[in-house]
Parts: sequence; C-alpha cells; structure tokens
Amino acid sequence: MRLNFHSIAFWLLVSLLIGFVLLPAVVTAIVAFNAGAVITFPPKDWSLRWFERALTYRDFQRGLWNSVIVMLWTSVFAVSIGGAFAWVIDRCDFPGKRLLEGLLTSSLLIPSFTIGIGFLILANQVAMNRSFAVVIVTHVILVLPFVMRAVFVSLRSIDPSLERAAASLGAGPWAVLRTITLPLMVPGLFSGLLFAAILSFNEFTATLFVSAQATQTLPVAMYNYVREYADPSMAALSVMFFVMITVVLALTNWLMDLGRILAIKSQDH
Amino acid sequence: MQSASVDIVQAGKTFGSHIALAPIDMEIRQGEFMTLLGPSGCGKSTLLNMIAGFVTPSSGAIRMAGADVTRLPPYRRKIGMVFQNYALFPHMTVADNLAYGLKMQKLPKAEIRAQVARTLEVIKLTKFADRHPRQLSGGQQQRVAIGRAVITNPQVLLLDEPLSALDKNLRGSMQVEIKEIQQRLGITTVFVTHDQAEALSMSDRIAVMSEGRVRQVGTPDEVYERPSDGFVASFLGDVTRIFGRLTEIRGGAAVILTEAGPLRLPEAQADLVLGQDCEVFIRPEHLTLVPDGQPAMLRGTVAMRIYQGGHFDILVDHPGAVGGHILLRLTDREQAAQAEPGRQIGLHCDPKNLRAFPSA
Repeated sequence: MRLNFHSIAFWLLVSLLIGFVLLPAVVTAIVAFNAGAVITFPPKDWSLRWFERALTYRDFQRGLWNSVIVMLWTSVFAVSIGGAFAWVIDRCDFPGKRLLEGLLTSSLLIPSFTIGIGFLILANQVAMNRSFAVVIVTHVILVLPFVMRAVFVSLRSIDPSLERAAASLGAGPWAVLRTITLPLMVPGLFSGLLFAAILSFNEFTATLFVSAQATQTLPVAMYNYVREYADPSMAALSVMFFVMITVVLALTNWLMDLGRILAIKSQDH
Repeated sequence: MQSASVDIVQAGKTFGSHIALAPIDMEIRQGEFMTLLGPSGCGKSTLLNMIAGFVTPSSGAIRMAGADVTRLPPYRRKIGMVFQNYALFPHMTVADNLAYGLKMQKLPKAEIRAQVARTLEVIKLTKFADRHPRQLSGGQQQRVAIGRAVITNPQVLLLDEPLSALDKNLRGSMQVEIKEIQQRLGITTVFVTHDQAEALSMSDRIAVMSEGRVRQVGTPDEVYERPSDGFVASFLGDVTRIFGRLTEIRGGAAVILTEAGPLRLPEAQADLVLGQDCEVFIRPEHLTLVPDGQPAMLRGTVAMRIYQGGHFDILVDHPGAVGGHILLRLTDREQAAQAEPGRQIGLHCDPKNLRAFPSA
C-alpha cells in the first residue's frame, strides 16, 4: 500500500477513535491489578487482591444479587408489557393510539432522576419504599421504550400477508397471534429482553432514589463505596463487568445464529 | 365440501372520497374459473379481498352458495387463497404449512397426516416435506401455496396474481398446473391478474376492469373478439387504432371517414352517433396482404419487420394510426418476405372484424 498523506491521516483518525473508545477500559483494567491501596497509573506492583476484595465485600455481593433479581423481573415484565402494547399499537386501530404510544415511550424524554424522585414519593405514600417492587417498576418504565422499539422493528418486518394467509385458512385472531405472529416476533422479543437486561443492570440515576439499604443494586453499592474508599477494587469490579457483558453478548450472538438455523428469523432472499 | 357460486350484489368500496370499486353486480358460477383482469389500481384486488373478507364492502352484499357472507370474517368463510408472494409460513416446514388449515379445523392427527401426504403427492413435493419454504425454488413455493389453499376443500379458491413473481418459462407451466388442479377439483376460482395472455388462456370467463368499474364480463373469446369498448379492445391483445369520424349510416353499414379514406363496417359494430369522433380498431391477425396493383383498404410503407419465432410482426407507417404505425401479423414466411422494409404494401381487413368506438 502506498502511503500518502490521505491514507496516513485516515489511519491516524481511526487509531485515535479506537484509542478514544478503548482507552478508559484499558486504563481501568490495568489499574485493577494494582498492589497498592491507592489508585496509581501505571501500577508499581501487581496483585489480584482487589479482585478478592471486590468479590468478598458484602455490599457488593448483596448488590450483585439484588441487581440480578431486579434485572430478571424487569426483563420479564418489560418484554411482556412492551411486547403486548407494541402489538396492540401496531396491529389494532383505536382512538388515542398515538397518545398511548407517546405515554409508553415518554420516559425517554423525562430525566431519570425525575422518574426516580417521582416513584420515591409515590412509594412512600403506599409504604413500599423498602421493597423491590418500586425498583422493578421504575426499571420497567425506563426500559420500556427500548423494548418497544425492538418489538416494533420485528413486527414491521413480518409480511402482513402471512397473517392474512393464516386467516384464510380458518385461523381466528388468537390462533393467528399464537401460531404466526408470536413465533415470528421471537427475534424482536429476544433483543428486547437483552436491551431490558443490560439497561436494567447498568441503571443508576433513578435507582439511587428508589432503592433502600436492603434493595440497593450493584451500581448503587459501587457509588456508596466510592464515597468512602478510593481503592482499586472499583477497577477490579469494572473488569469483571466488562468480561461478563462480553460473555453475554457472545452467547447472544451464538443464540441468534441458532435462531437462524431454526428458521425463526424471517426469510432472506 | 361442495364448491360454491359467488354472487356480488351491488358491492362497492370507497376509501374516504376515493372510489376503489364502484358498486357492481357479478355472478360467479359454481366451478367456474373467473378472472379479474385490469391494470393496477383498477379495483380487481379490492374485489378479491372483498370476496375473501379482508375488505368490508361500503355497500352491497356478497353471497356464497346463496348465503350472505358480507359481514363474515375471512376465517369463517370457506376460502382458500394464494398470495402474490406465496405467504408461506417461514417458521414451518412444507408439511406443517400444508397441515395448517386442517389443524385449524381440529381434524384428527392421523387424518391430517394422510391428507398432507396425499397433497404432497399432488404437488409433487413428497421429498420436500421437511424442508422450510426458503429452501425451495419459486415454482416449488408456488405449488406449496396452492396445495395449502386447496387442502381444506374450500368453497372458493382465490388467486391474487400468483404467477407474477415467476419467470416467463415457469409461468407457462404453472398456468397449466393451476388449471389442471382447478379442473380436477371443480372448484370455483377467482383469479386476479394484469396479464391479458394469462387471462385469455386460463379463464372460463374474464371480467375486464378499469378505474373501479367492470367494463365487460365474458368468455375469453367474447372479450377478445367482441370487446364492448375501446379500453377492453386495447387492453386485450394487440390492436391498431385509426382515427376517424362517423359520417354516414346507410343500409346497415356505418361509414367512417379516416385519413386513409372511408372505411365501411356493419352498423352493429360501431357504437357511435353521426358525426362523432372515433377510433377504428383492427387486430393484427385480421389484416392480410393485398397483391400489388389491386385495390386495398389501407396502404403504407413497411417500417420494420420483427421476427417473433412463430410469426412476423410488421409495422407499416400510416399517418392516420395512433402511434403512426399499423401492426400486421403474418405467419406465412413467403408473405412475410414480401413485406420488405421500405416497400409500399396494401392491406385488407374483412369489415366484420372491424370495430369502432368513440375516441377516449
């Protein structure tokens, strides 16, 4: 390849972009292996002690467990509710349809802390402020727009004549939904589920308001930790986060390919 | 199940102020192959979807075997439908696609299996039972779609441009296959197409439609040989149109003055009033070459001779014809050899084959 000014500039830009995206992760990963109690970069000595600390610290253990509980319930509720409403909005005609769609996706426009404060006040009114319910409800509201987007995309990729064909063969509306629409929506529901899980697991701002000591999620526990300590256990946690999400995404990729083999995905010719 | 007649009684459809289908009456007889033919937007698909139950008529009624089905949803009408893109269920195998309608009828499993096996044999896809639709060729998908539509023994078979996605060679053989299945089952069939050749070769009767109206209903022979208006005449088959004006009616003959001089035709074939501007329609196969030196109805210079395999299409320059050419079709090679480009030739047409309609 001939190196001229343009190609040099191009590769420089690409390297800068890659560096810009990856640098924080790389720095954090290196810091995690620090032996000292103070964050230094680059580390003078190396150890795994902060991984041990992160894994054994009770608030983190608790927080991870809480996060998983909240994530699972949020995903299930958000996909059921989001899937159902997305179908209703896409396939049925009724007055106020646009309003309903606007309402369900409004959390995109409202700041997370506003939603957090709102639910905190509401939960106090009904004495639910220490329960998981309020955290889960808050998360469902926050992830709903993303779930619905994913479901809409897959609904719109279903050829409407498939549902007509089913109807012409004697399938009533429910049979059509059960045997045609729902199976073909699986990829959309699955990506909605993934969105819901990742967003819920990462959610911090609103959760800070609605979680109590017993229900605090991992990000909230990390925030509380950082307020008191400044050691590299945060960095160690980040590395574990990163590895976990990579594994989940790799798994998803594999599953989606499986979906193609099982012909869940629509025809591509 | 007995196949049924379909009666369309003053059924029409409007969308807001747009008239998709003006109220029409049509009677489709039991076991008949009826084609709805017309350009896109003529209302043929609207009419088909009304019979299927996907479109509710704004007025009028639809009856199947005498029973009013106007308000019945599609899944309660006993129809089979084949869609333009086949609409095979992508997440099901060929066998499951075929079994779908029978499962909806809640037939016993053993009976479903037997019927699916029988249908697979009819559509010659027994070996492909466990394939998914996307693993099949276009023609195979088409056969699955037809098999799926007829396996439930519907009263009426509805076909929505089922051949338009296939290439030309395959289309010909699928026409034959569809016709064969239809005749064996004796099933009332409504076929929608914009392809006049398809309509002429497959139908018992054709309804020619345009702009939300039915222009003519008749056998292929009737609509081709005795079109009721200029639209029908020019939509079916090739035709040469010559501008003129009705100047005289005498002794049962109408005289139309054209650029080529007066043309005479039986009065019954000219739906005109005296003095009206009109067009005279001539089919290319009705024109014959006149030997040199003898009187001819039309004269012109050969502009082009196009070899079509089985016949020759000859374009003859003529200022009075729409498009500036008269089209002549010759199957005889010796005659065609005479129609050398640049040569002056004379043409004749038996007056009983001429038609005149008012100018559009």
